[in-house]
Amino acid sequence: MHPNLDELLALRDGDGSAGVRCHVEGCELCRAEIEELRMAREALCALPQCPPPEVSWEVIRHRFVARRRKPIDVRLGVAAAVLLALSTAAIIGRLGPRIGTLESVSGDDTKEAVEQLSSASRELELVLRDGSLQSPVLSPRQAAMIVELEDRIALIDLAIAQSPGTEPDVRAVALWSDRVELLDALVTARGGEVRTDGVVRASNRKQGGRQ
Amino acid sequence: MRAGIPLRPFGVRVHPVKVMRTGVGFFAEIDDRLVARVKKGDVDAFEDLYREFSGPVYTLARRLCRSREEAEEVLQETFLEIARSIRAFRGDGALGAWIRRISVSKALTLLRRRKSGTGKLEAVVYDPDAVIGMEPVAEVDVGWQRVDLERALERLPDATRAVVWLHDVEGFTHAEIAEVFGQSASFSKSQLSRAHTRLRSWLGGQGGIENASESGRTAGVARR
Repeated sequence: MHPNLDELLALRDGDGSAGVRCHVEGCELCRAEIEELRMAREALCALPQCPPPEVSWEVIRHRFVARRRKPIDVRLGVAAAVLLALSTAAIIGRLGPRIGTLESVSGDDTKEAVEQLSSASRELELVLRDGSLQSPVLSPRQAAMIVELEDRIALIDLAIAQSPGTEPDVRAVALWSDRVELLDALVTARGGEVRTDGVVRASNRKQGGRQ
Repeated sequence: MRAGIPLRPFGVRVHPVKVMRTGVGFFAEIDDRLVARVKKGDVDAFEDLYREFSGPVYTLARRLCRSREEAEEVLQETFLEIARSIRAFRGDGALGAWIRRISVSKALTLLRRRKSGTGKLEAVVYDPDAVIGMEPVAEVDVGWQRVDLERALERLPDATRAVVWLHDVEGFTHAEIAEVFGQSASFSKSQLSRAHTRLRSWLGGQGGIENASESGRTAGVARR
């Protein structure tokens, strides 16, 4: 009885049992079969390499550089946030009573604006996190834009985190507004669509393309 | 045997210049200093590493996945993983083997994701619709027979194709394949056997194996 294909493959790969080896030595058909399996392997090995698309390196380079730059960006972000805080303090100090008046007049409006912007921000983050937007392969331009936007959002997050006080002020409104705008751009860069309807909202995201 | 260009199994004509074994690219000699520079985040060094290994990685990805887009994703993810993890590479083994391991892992992850829901690779069912419109993997200047082999490879179910490529070309043992698939060695052996049976039946059916029959090598086919 001839060995089955599994056994012949094992013998081809040098793992055959003594019994199978003994049979094959005396069986011309099985020897021919093993030779054919060996040549099949050679045919597969002889297939040429597939050259990778040149654009792939550009995408990888962008992402590699972005990763490498992160720690520096964090330091820059802290410095930027400190500068922002100092300049805000300087402005407040210079304009003192006027800003105080503005805040006292529009305090509720400011709070509501920050809440709305914060809510819009969360919605956009959900859109970004659900993964349906992300194209598996990014062009270099897309990758660069996404990295840039993410970096800018990180800077704003640092500035928000370092905002003085617990009550939102006009500066907080400006920061949250910028954050929503950047998230909006990020969703668009990843192939989504965002429309403005009073507050920025994501729509048609599952369709995954610009309409 | 006919005179002239030598014939390989399945009627593959071997071009004397174009042929390059795909499994050997991962074992290029790499200077330790290059690895050290990559670990420090040197972009130029990383590019050198990419130039050295992108061919083997992309080829592996292209053979394991069904489309160029998927292969590109594997290529990108592999090199980003290299960038993330190279500090952990101690040089105990060959760098190429380490990179190949990452590539295989990324490719299988992608295939599993494509089969989302089950989380397992399709190993049995062949869907003929899945190959309609597939482009040949490489240039056609070597001859139609090679393209035929590439197409036949693409027609195999994901797991079957991956097993035959990893075993016969990349030299993985059944135990290693079992490990990356999270299956048994028997699974690997049966997939390898199935792959050879299918490749031969498809390519033999197109007349590519007539040379084998000429030399009396149809016994295995007849037996099965």
